Amino acid sequence: MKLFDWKLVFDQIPPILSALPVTIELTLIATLIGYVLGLLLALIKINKIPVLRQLAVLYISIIRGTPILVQLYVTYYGIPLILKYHNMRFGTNYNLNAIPAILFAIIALGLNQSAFDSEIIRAAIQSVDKGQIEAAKTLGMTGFQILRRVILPQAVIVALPSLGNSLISLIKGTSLAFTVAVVDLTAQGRILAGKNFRYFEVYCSLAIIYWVITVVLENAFKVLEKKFSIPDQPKSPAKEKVEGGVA
Amino acid sequence: MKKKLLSIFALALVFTLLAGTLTGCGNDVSKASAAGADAAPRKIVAATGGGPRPLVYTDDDGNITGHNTELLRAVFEKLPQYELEIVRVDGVSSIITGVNSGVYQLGFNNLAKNEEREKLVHYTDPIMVNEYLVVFRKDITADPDKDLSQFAGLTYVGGAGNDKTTVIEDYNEEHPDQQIKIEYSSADIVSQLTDVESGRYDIMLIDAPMYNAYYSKEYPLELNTYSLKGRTSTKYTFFVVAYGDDQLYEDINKALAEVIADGTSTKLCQEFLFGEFSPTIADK
Amino acid sequence: MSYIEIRGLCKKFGDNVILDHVDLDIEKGEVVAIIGPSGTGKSTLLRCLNLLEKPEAGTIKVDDRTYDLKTKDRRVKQNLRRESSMVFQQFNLIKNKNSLENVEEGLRIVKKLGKEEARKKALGALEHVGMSDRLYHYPKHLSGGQQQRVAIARSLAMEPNLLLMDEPTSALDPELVGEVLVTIREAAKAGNTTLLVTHEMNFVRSVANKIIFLENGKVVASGAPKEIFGYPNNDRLKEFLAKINMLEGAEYNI
Repeated sequence: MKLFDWKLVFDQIPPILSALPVTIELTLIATLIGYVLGLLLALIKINKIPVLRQLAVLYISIIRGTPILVQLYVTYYGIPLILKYHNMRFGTNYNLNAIPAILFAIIALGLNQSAFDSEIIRAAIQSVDKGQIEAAKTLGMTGFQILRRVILPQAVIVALPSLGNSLISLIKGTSLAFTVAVVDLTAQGRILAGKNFRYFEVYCSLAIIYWVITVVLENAFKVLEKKFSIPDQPKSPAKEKVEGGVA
Repeated sequence: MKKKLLSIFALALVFTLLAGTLTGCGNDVSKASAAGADAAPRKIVAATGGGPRPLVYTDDDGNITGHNTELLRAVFEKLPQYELEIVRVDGVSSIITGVNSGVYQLGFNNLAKNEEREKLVHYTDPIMVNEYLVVFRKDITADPDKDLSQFAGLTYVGGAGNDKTTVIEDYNEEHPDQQIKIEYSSADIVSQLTDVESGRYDIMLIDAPMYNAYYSKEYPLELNTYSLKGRTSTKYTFFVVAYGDDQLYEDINKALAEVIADGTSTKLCQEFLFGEFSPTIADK
Repeated sequence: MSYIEIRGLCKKFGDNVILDHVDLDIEKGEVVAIIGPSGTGKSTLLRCLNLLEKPEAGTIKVDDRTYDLKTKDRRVKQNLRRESSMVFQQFNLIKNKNSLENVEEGLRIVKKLGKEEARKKALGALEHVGMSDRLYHYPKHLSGGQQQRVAIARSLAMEPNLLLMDEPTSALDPELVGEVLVTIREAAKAGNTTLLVTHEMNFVRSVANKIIFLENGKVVASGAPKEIFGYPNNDRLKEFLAKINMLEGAEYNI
């Protein structure tokens, strides 16, 4: 029995990658939910909207404070249990069988992301110099226009590195989806290893795969940071087109 | 005004999420089985952890197979009123929890019966004759006729929620001054066996058919074993279904008896376990 | 009937009364300067007029339109803000837009002008303040004085009925103050109705038509520069002017 099979590490990468679309789907949609809901929560906290603000604080605290595994478990297996008792007592016939497991995983991951992302976004928004907002107000711009044209473009620059971090964390977090029978990259690796028991090699394969994905994302974020940032040198006046910044 | 707009938006989002989860409800599954042969086959989602080989595993083409899996398929071949779908989940705890809450209709992973699990899920008739072997290093002396207290102070390795670990946990509860140290591990069986051989841990428990038929042959290690007596529930392994699903329970047991009677079970045991481990009808 | 009439402006911060029933009239094209000791509410007065601060009471009439400064109606607030433009002590240019974009912003987004028209107006405004050679510079590439001139261009391009200037040179290095004062003088000469808060007394003297002395939330003295600086009729005013060495007839003349 070979102690460590390097060739196997690379041979196993293609079969493991058959689950790549699942990991990507989980990551992409959960990230989107995280950003959108995170922005909403951040705005609620910043604008101190009554009732919603307290709910937001509670939500962020609970969702950040409990492990994703527990959140997944409790919703995927717990809600049907509650419905089962409800059915038994009231003779109803509710169940969640129509909802695919991957949707549960995506929502759980997305909500979890939103709790973390909302704090990142909130800090970034509040870092935007308030004088500019006053100037925009005196021009007569509406709150939404100010948010979109003044605050967010500048907040994005501040938030981008942290949001990139958050996304990279999420990619690893998607491996928890196996708890609800969603076969992602890590699950696929473990299934493969269940046949030949070369778990060590499989985990090496997974490490390589996840690292490559992370590197791709790091570079994507680098490009984004550059795109959103204010250039160091002003463009020459000879240019007719007005460039730079985000209008 | 901006605040009002935001709060409306947020409440709308909350309601949509709630509504979205509830619309998935009301899927009337029981109607199908009640209507009988005329209705479409009832879908049975069977959950497994996807291991260990040779009882459950995935072959090179990505198909789930193994002794338990093929036996399950043979059983459902005799039940055209059901449609079997197999899903893989990350472990036994998810299987038991899932069957109990109704997310899955059946669970299989060479499951042994114990008190705690029996409270949650309904065990079918036996699918395989089982017994546990105590596996230990060659340089430990152990007497097969003595009980587990001869290992007091030594370290056991095994999975959490695993019935074999439950055996040790139960023993520890009954023998508070002769405890065996438990190291919980989610590593695969071969890694655990290797660790016992190297001395990192001292003992572990393993299914006899698996070990004798497969592991001892594929991974020759310097280990000793003897058969663990005394726990009748480890004599067999089973499928599990949810309590209250009586029609399914009866149908499975009936088909299982046929599969054993017509020799299919014996054939599968030979194919995967290189021996005969089918339960006899009288064992029920 | 003045072009701009402010009546009964009241503002408190906590228990502090900052503005105490202030009344003010401004004629069209007039340049009114507000002077007074620090912290007496000069900036606050300005900031109440475009609702950056929420006054406890007060109305403003611009031409034939009257606005209640306590209004909670978003529409009314917007309309009021569109009557005036403000130049800030800290310039407050939008950092992720260059000079040209900064000036165009209000024209395109608030006045909803087309791209061509907005571009034309913005270029004109920037030329007036002498910033035509730095159209594509971002605020971080500009000196304080340059930023302020762009800010003034931004305000003027909006063609406001009232130009509010809140200590426009107070944050500038001394050598940059001059260029901004020139720009303000040009804006005044062009006929903009202006309300100016500043410490630059010599400038006030040469540019303002009327000077208001604000102390403890009240207009304590008001009049043409000659009167205020030449014949101050109020002890507090005299004290203030002496402090800042503007009292004519005193031993040291500036």
